[in-house]
Amino acid sequence: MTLIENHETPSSHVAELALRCYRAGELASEACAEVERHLATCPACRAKMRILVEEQRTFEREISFERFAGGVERAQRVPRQRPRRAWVFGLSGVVAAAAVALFLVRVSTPGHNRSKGGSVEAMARIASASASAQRSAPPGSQEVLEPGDRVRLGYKTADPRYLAAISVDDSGEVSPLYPETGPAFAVSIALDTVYLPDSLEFTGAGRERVYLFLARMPFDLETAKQAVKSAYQAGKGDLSALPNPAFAGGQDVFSWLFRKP
Amino acid sequence: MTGRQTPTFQVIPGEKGLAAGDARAQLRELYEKYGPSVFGRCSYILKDRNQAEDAMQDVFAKALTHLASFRAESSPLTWLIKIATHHCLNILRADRAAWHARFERETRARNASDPGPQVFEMRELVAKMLSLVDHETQAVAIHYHVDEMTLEEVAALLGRSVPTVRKRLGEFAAVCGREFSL
Repeated sequence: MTLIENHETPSSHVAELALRCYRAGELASEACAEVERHLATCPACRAKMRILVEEQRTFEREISFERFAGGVERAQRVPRQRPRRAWVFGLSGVVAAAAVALFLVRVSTPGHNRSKGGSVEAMARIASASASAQRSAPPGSQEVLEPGDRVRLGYKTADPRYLAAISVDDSGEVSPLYPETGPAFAVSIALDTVYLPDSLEFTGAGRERVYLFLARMPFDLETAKQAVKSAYQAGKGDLSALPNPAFAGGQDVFSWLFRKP
Repeated sequence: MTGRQTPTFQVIPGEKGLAAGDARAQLRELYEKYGPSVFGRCSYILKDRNQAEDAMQDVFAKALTHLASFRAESSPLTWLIKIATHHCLNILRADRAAWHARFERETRARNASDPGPQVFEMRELVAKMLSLVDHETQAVAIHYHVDEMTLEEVAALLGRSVPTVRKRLGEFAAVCGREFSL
């Protein structure tokens, strides 16, 4: 590895990757000494080093070792041959769209509280840990999840809408899914199914009810969260018997009840 | 709660026959020596903290799966950076649908982190231009401009000839030039 690079600037500096290797203890003793001599005389490279030191601190502060270890172990147990977001469709786009169309649900399902006006539809897809098996889950259904199962939400709408997804568990903890904060996402007309990015893996035990809101008017995530909390209280914490959360804005609400492994 | 944010707490099994304590020590070594660099690369490309963390986990899982060859690398860090770059560029490629792009803009606005000092500003310039070039050119540009590797090092890392790498960098520079002339 070239330690002192000189391909972009008139002055010579230690390449960033070389500095990282130096910090990781990967350089041989001679190279190490060369870097140290350079650092002693180069303020720019010392500044780079300080950034790397700070980067290390920030990393360890934000991602604990336990969290890191758990995540790596999970990724090792359930290898993702493709990027996580791509798990729903192993088929070509056209074939996949046709396959999904078979699973589209009617709007008048038990898990759907419909507003007046244009048509909207929602659906969930569940993929097994190995992504070898997938199934659909219409709104209103109760689904038993196996370890590693991942859920993806999708929608169709004949008119522009504002979208948010929120879940609540048995203990009444409300978790925003899409978006995580701020205003609901503005979504345009989607005559073909559009799936939200990322798949969801539910942790812990018990049940989790997931709501997908598609409103005509803009709304804030906090408004929807409050509606879900109110519904939870009105249903006395029984996730199978919660009233549909509602707020001003003319929203369609879809929901699914998942039993976690 | 959903698994997108909640960590689990389990001991990594590690190599076959490796005691749990050894496996944990090994993982801690990876965490301390390479975690920030790999996470930094994933964050740089993906611009989304959650995605970057997932991608980092994938990269280290791959390293553990191929631990023997990983250990045999003259620079395990360089190997990890290459894998992380490739993995994240693939994720971006899979997310090119218009919907994802809109989401990414949202999340970038929320999560984009400024590395601060101006010594790293080249990173941002390269990042802005990545979407305008093909996958191989993206990797070449990142390794050359961000990792500050030489032409020869980039060529060796990616298994390409030096002229090919030079050509890719020329294409990247041309794209940048066109963008700035607009």
